[in-house]
Amino acid sequence: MRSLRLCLLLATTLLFAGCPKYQPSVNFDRNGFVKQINDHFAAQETQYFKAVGTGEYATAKIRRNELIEDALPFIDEAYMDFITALQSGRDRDNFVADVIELGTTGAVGITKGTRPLQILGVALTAFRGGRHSADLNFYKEQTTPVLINKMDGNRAKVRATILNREKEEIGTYSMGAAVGDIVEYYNAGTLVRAFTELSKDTAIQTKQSEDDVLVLKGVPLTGEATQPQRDLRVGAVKILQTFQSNLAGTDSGKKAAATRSLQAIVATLQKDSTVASVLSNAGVSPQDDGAKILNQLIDIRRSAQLVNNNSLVDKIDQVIIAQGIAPVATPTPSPTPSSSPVATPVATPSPSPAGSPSQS
Amino acid sequence: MPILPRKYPKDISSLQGLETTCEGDEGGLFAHLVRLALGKDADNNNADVTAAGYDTDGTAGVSLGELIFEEYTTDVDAGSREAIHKTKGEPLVCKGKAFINGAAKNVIVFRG
Repeated sequence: MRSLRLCLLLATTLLFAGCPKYQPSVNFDRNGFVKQINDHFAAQETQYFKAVGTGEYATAKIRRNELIEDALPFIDEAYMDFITALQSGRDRDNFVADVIELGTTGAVGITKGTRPLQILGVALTAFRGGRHSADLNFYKEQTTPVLINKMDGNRAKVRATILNREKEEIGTYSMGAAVGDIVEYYNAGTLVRAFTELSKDTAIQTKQSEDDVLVLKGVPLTGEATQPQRDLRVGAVKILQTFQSNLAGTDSGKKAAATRSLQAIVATLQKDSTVASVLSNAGVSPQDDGAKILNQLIDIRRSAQLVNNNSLVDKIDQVIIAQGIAPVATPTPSPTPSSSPVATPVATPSPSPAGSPSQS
Repeated sequence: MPILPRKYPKDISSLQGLETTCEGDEGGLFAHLVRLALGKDADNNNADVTAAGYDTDGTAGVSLGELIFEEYTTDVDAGSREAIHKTKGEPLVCKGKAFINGAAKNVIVFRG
């Protein structure tokens, strides 16, 4: 496995090094440099697995990160050479044709039967279809700076990922994954990846431009929410989500408890004349089943929120939070939800300035 | 269920203020934020507003009201932020524009 991973990294760089027109060529094949790198990585990997074997996970993590940070400067250097050549035109004139040839390169890799090259072959399959020369000339003439910017962006994304993952322990970020990220970092700086990412971006940007400015009619303007108002809404919705989950689950005890709590909420809300009329209009009573009450409460809150009726939503949310903190005990012998202790909200955030919740 | 539209004033005080407002709306609407964009208020002489959209479907398992708003500069910056939050298990919610204190800003939103 170790040699396989190493092969994957080196084979990737070697494969691309043979096609210098559309990606940076990592110069591993000069004056015994390949051997030097190979030996270097092998030594790092040996130390890594030795540390893993002896349970020295902190040391293994250090070795893993050292290998990553040792490898990336080579790729950075090659990338700088590559984009300098691309900008000056030395590599630009023919890179278009090479995009077509790229598929062939991958296919050759597959016929050699080595797993790393098979992986690359799969990755490159999408490019075998090639492009018409007219389209490609457009790219050549117009988009070299765009492509370079895209490659910069792709590399920055992968670099950010690597930097973050280096903080992880080896259990969640293994040497194999690290080598994979190194390969990904290299690939991010290729024209191949730039083309595919630009294609994705174009689709997204087209949609975004369509949605750029929306004209809204009949939608009330909503002012900035206060922190207490936000806390009240979020606190209540979390309790409603818990009820929803319990009612949809298979635990009959939780279902029954959720239903009792919801019935108690309605019973308490009915004590406020304003809310009582809203509940009545919605056809909700404390005798309804949990699912019906839940759905109606969600609808009532949503409708009130949409027209910025903060006073109503505040009242409902305060009762929900009070009930969520003090769930109703199992009723015996007959359920009387209206007598549940929900009158005084505990740890309820203060209401919004606009609201005037009445706690009955 | 269609996307529920909301509109917020151009002079919302800060990015944090917009975050708080959207979190409150997620809670009140029992829906998750899916879109932020610049908008025009047809009911008020096409005044500038921030338009938001909330989807009521697919809320199961979603931490409603736990949003992270960040301003970004370029697509590269947005991509980097997305990558960083991904490693923290904070998925992208949406990327768009919003008025903050009167000025249009690029905003990217994650779920915490």
